[in-house]
Amino acid sequence: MVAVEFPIAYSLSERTWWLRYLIATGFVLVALTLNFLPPAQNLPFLFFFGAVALTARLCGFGPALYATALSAIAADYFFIHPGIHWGFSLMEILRMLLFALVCLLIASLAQQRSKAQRAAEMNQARLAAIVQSSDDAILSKTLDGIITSWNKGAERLYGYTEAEVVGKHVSLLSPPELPNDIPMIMSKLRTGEQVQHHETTRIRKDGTRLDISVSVSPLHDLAGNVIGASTITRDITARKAAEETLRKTEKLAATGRLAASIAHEINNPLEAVTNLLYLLRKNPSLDEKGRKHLSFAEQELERVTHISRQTLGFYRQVSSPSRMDVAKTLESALSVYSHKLEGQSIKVETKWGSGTEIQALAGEIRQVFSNLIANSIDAMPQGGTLTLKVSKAHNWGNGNRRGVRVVIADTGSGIAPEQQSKLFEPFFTTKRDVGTGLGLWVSKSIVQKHEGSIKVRSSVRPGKSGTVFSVFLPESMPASAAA
Amino acid sequence: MVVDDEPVVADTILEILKEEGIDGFAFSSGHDALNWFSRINPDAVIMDVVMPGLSGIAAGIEMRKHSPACRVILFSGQTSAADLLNEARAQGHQFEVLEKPIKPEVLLAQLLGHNGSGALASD
Repeated sequence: MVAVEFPIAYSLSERTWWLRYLIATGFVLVALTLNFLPPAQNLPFLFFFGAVALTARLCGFGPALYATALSAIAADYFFIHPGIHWGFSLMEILRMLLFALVCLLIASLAQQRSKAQRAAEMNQARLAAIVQSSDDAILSKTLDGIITSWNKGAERLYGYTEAEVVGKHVSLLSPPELPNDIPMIMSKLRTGEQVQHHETTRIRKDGTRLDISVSVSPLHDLAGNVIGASTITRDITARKAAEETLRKTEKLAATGRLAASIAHEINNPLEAVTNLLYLLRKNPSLDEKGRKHLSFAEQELERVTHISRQTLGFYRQVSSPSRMDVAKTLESALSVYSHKLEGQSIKVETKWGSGTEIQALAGEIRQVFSNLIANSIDAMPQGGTLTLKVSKAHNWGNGNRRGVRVVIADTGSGIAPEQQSKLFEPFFTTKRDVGTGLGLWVSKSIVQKHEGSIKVRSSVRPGKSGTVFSVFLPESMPASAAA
Repeated sequence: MVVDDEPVVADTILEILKEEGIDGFAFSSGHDALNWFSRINPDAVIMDVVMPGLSGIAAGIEMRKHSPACRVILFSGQTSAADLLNEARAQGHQFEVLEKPIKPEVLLAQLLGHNGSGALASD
C-alpha cells in the first residue's frame, strides 16, 4: 500500500508567524533549562544547537534566526558572563560569531531537509488530488484483497463511501455469479503481472449491475516486492448499452431486408395459386364437394395473403401519401386478428364515424393500428373488451387542424404509471417474452411523420384497469414528409 | 399482353383473361415483350415490376413511347417496387399499379372498368 505520511513539519510551517516565534522561544527556554541539569554542566551550547535545529525544521528560517539570537543572549547572560555587563573582548566576540555561524549552518541544513520534504509532500498532495478528482474509480488493495484506499470516483461508481469500504475485502464489489473473477486478478498480481482493460461486471451498493473495464497494476515497495495493487475502473455501462442498441438496429435492418426478399418470394407463388384457384372455380365439371373444398382453400389462401401483407408489407409499401379511409384501414387491420380475438374471447365494439378520409401513407397508418390492436390483445389474455372508435376531430393544442381521431381501448391489465413515460422509447417493452420494444416507438414516429399525435391513458386499478390509446391524424399530411 | 418472370403467373393470368374472352400473349421477360410489342400492338399490358434484366417500368416507358394509347398496368409483390415507381413518377411516367397477390376479380375490374374505383390500390 501507499503510506501517505503527513509529519508535523508540514502542518506547523503553515501556522501563523507569531505562533512559530512563540514555539522558537519555547525551544530556547527548554534548552536553557536543560543546560542547568547536572549532566549538561560542561556542554553549555549543545542544547541551544538542538533548539535552533528543531526551530528551523519545524517553524522555518525566520524563527531559527530569532532562536539563534535568543540563544546567544541567553548563553552570554547565564554562562559566559553571568549578569549584565558592557564591552566585549575580541575573544568573546569571535566565540559569539562562531556560535552564531554553527547555529545558522544547522538551521539552513535543517531547513533544506524540510524544504525537500515539503516538495515531496506537495507532490504527493498533487497526486492525491489527481487521484481524488479522477472520473475513474481508483482504489488500492493489499495482496489479500483488502481495500486500502478509495477515491471519489469509486464512491460515485459503487455508491460506497471511503469509510464504508476501507478495510473490507474487494469481493464485496463482485457479483455472486462471477466468483472466480477477483481471485483470477489477484493471482495474476501476485506474480507481478498487470491486468489491462479487463471487461467484467461489478455490483453497486444498491445492488444494480455495472459493466466495467478494469486495469490493475501491482504496487512495489522499495525493495521491489509486490505489496499490493492499484485498480483503475471505468464505467462502460453506457458504451455497452450503445453497442447493444447498434446490434439491435442492425438486426432490425437485416429483418427489413429479409422481409423484402421473402415478400417477393412468397407473393409470386401466392399470385399463381390465387389464379389457379380462380380458374378451378370456373371449371364447370367441378362437383358440389369440390366447390366446398375450393371455398375452404380460397379462405385459407386469403389468410396467407393477409399475413403476408401484414408482416412483410410493413417495410415501406408505398412511399407517397394517398387518400385513405381511416375507418376502413382500421377495420382491415382488425380483421387479421379475428382468430386471436375469438381464441381469447375478446369482445370487439366498434364505432365508425363517417367522412374519415385523410391524405396519408396507408401502409404505415395500417401498421400503427395493427401495433395498437396487437398490444391490446396481448394485454387481455383472460378476455375483455376491445373498443375501436373513429371520428372526425379537431386537434387539441396545435391550432385548429381538422383530422380524424382513432381511439383504441382495452380492458386489460393496464400499464403502471412509472412505465407509461417510457412506453414510446425504443426497446422498451412490458412484454418481456414476446415484445421487441419497437412497436410503439415505430408507431409514434409514423404518427409524428404525419404531424399527428398519439396519447396514452392507463389504469392499473383492479376491476377498472385498462389502456386507451388515442391517435390524432390530420386531414392532409405535410408535403415535406411525403418524400 | 402479360409479362411476368414467373411463367405460372403469366400463363394463369392469360388463361383467366381468355375465360373473359380476352386474347393475349404471355412473356417472361421485359426484353421479349418489348421485341414483340410492335408486332402484337396490344390494347393493354399487364406487367410485373421487378424482373431480371429490363424492369417492368423501363419496358412500360418504352411501350408508351411506341404506342401512347396502350394501357400499362404494373403489378408487384416487392417493396422495392415503390422506389422504382417513384423514380418513374419523377420522370413524368404514371402507371396503374396493383399489389401482388391480386385477386383475378380485382384485376379484371381494373382492366375492363373505370380507372381507380377506390377499392383498388391505384397508388
